[in-house]
Amino acid sequence: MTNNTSKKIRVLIADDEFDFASTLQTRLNLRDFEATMVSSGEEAVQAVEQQKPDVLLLDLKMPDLDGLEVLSRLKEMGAETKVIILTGHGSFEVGREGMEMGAFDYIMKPVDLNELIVKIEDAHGSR
Amino acid sequence: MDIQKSPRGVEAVCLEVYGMLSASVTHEIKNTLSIINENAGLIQDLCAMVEGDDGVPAGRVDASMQMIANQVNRSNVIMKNLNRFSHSNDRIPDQADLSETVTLLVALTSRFAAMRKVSVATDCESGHVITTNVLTLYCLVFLILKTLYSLCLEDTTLLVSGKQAAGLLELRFVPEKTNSQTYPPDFPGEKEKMLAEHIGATCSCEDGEVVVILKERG
Repeated sequence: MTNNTSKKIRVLIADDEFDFASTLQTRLNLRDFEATMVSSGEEAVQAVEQQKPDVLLLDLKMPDLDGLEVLSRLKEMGAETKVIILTGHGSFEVGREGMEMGAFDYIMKPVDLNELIVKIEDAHGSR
Repeated sequence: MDIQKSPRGVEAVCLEVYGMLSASVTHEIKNTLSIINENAGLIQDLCAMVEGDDGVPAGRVDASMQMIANQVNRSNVIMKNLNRFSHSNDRIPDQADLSETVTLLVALTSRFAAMRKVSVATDCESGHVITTNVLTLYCLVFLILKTLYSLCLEDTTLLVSGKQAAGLLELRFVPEKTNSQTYPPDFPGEKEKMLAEHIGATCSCEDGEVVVILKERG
């Protein structure tokens, strides 16, 4: 269970569902990613600024700042972190809206981990 | 007013409430399914890691199984509440317990409250039953709660109390602190007033508190 790159890809998970984020973090770390997590939009902005992760997995619906607001703040900051949106919406529209705002990609919940890993590696490779 | 028939306007507002509610509930269910999905995957990961070895780490498997059980329980409660809301239009008029109504609607709107970081406290006298159009009553309480969550400041509490007063039933919604700049001067608005009128109730705002006066037979 390893990713193919020699240096670990640093992934930040921003989701207010603690049990979801912590389990996903564990599963990504088992696959040799370096995953960390935060539980709100405001924390996500701060963590991107301080940790400069390679990829941010960003839930759209969170207390305080929602995902689209986080995207907008990251754009203002000129952050180089690639963003993959996690969405619980039934339609693709919000994910597409996020991509128009600069997100690299989106994935719908519940997440297919293999699909997510491909997207993370693609996002990292595009940096 | 004839409570057997709902005017078009009331039907439209109830449909709007149902739309907001189902959007919120389906998000919640997707979240619970996501946690179940991740934990089922983690158990598979753990099994794969120890294949041919001494065995899976029991503590981690147990923690994952507990998370799955918690999310199944959470989903069940969410669906039970939505089911109760959905069946509220089966018989018109029907009976609704005041305290249970508040508990149900607070539960159904908990996601909206969480998004605004608002806590809800309830203090309702038990044993007060209203005979009314229950769906309309539920929609009225839903709209008031949802509006007040958006007005409450983060990390504050909204108190919902219910009691009998002068032969009538009173529901009072008391925000701890609101953002006065965003408090709409016309709240309760047309929708809330229309729903209240439909069940023979009144809905008004007194010094930042929303008060609904209900007849036991509305």
